Amino acid sequence: MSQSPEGTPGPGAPRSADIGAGIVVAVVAIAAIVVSRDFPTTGLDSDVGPARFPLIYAGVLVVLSAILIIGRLLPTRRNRESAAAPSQPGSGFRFVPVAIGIVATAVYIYLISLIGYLPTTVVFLVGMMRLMGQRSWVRTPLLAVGITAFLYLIFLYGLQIPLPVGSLFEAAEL
Amino acid sequence: MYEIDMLLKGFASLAADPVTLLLALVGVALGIVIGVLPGLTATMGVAILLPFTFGMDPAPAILMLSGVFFGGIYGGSITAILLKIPGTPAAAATAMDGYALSQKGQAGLALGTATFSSCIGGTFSVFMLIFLAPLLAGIALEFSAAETFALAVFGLSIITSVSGESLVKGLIAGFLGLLLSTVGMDPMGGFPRFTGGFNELLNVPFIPVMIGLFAASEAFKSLGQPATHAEVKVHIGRIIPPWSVFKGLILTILRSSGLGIIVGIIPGAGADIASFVAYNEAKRFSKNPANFGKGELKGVAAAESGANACTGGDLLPMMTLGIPGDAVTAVMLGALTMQGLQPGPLLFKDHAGLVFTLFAGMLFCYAVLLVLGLSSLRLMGKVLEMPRSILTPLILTLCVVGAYAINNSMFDVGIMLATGVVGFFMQRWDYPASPVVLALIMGPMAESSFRRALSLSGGSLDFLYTRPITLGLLLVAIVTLVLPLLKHIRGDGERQAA
Repeated sequence: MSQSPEGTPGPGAPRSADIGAGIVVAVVAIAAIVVSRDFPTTGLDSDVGPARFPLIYAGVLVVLSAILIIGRLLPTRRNRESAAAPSQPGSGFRFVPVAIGIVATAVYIYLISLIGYLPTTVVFLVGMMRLMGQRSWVRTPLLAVGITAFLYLIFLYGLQIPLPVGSLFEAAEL
Repeated sequence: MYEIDMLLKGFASLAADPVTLLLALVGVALGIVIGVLPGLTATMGVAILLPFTFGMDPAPAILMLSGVFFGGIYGGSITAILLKIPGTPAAAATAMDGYALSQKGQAGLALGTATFSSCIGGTFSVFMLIFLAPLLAGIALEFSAAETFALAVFGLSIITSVSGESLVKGLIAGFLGLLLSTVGMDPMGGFPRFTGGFNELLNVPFIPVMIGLFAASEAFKSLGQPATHAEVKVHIGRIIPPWSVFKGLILTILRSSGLGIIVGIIPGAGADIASFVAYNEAKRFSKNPANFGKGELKGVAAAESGANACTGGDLLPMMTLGIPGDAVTAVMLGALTMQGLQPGPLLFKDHAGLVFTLFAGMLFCYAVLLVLGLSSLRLMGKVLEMPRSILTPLILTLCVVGAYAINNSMFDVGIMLATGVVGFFMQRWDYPASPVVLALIMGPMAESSFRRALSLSGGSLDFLYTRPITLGLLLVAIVTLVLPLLKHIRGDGERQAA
């Protein structure tokens, strides 16, 4: 499915995003080239060694990012239109909840390793549901507890995979 | 005949294993629900549910995921018909006539036709898989490292056809995937590359990357979208089409199934393309092409049989050659690998019994799809009312616990989060994620087979042009790579001229 989530058309990347992404890709590729140069050589005619393929891939990436950046810097009609157009809000899409969601997920993952799956998941679910508009203080926690317990039991008894109890509790048990 | 004999044995082994049948049924049901919910695709469904199959035997695990795959492709048609919201991209063609029929009060007829067409198309494609796969695997069994390298290059060349709007961005995504695929142990000497001292990166955990790219990124996107509330207030009416109507659709369904299978076999072309190709052909063959788009039942039948016939076609190169043609089969390949089964010709040699049990199970999945589809259509309105404010946090939690469950590793969860964030920005800025995953799978295959072939030929590159199959595959790869490039350049030229 070439159009499945991966192909979902975005709102059209702004010029600055394309240039920024091109620079990031170029930096990653150049870093890969620098690191690859220190890989050992085999000294055999019959092997190209561990560095050859990463060097080829990174080299192509440098060229492609240059094409992307130059293409967006050239005075083409698309770039002129893009520069002239005011920044578009993009059909009601809001970045703030996304940023909050990403940070909350990162904190959730960190806290799972610290205090375990059960308490953190309940809090994470309540927080995310409220962030997305669930306002009830009765239904939301009940749902969160239900989902958390259901997943915990499925993993523990159905798949024989105990979810993390957290390093703090593991240390306490010791 | 070998295939029939093995298939019967497959059915016998399934009949003795009711748990596997139950899990296949659960897979189809979940797939339909996932397909119905807008924003959730078959790829995402398979990626999220993959960790749940960890610890299961191969047959129930793969059949449950196949059920999700098949159900997911079909489920998209329900919202397409009822609300004109294609649950999956493949259902966009179904929406054109399906919704028009709904507005005429014939939603049930459209839904019933979609269900029958999906089931027939899918069943045909599984039969094609049963008869063609052993044949193709037999040929591929003769492949040496040189042919395998050429095959990997061909597989990689399809990145240009899954690149979406921007070829440069598609290629950047593909080459980033290739560069990522070199992280870990060097396939010949065992030298650790780009691991930064992390032992976890000696073998890059592939499944958390897929969960991040296809599921977490979608959940992050959903956080920023305005809340919508879907309510189905359509009169469904009669679901099973009368014989007099169905009779007129048979030829369309058969033709579209054939087209869907062919499109599916072509790497890079998936159910969305299959449904539009089948729809356009049905319109071209029709005596009343003007009716298409205004509620023509043949349009629904063509789009749905084409999309579902694609599933078997998609699985053919993945199972026999180890080349996934698109994102969902890449995830399915991950599932097979997780079960210790390496997709490719040896799968058919070493695990023939299991492979035919899977084929029998896939036929069972399509039979289940017909029964579940027809009986649950009236309930699907309720599924649609599930608010995103519950669904998105649930998906994020599933991503976290799923990524953890593969290796009991929080490091993998971190990788899932990182790729989820990257995947979100890739979507926002029009970078397709499919090339990354295809490159992650085929990059190591290309490198290791190239270096083995080079070693076998004593350092000479002769193997690239002295072996006919290698040369042929490399030429096809060049054509696959260059054609979209030429089209792109020509398109640019025309735009400039305009």
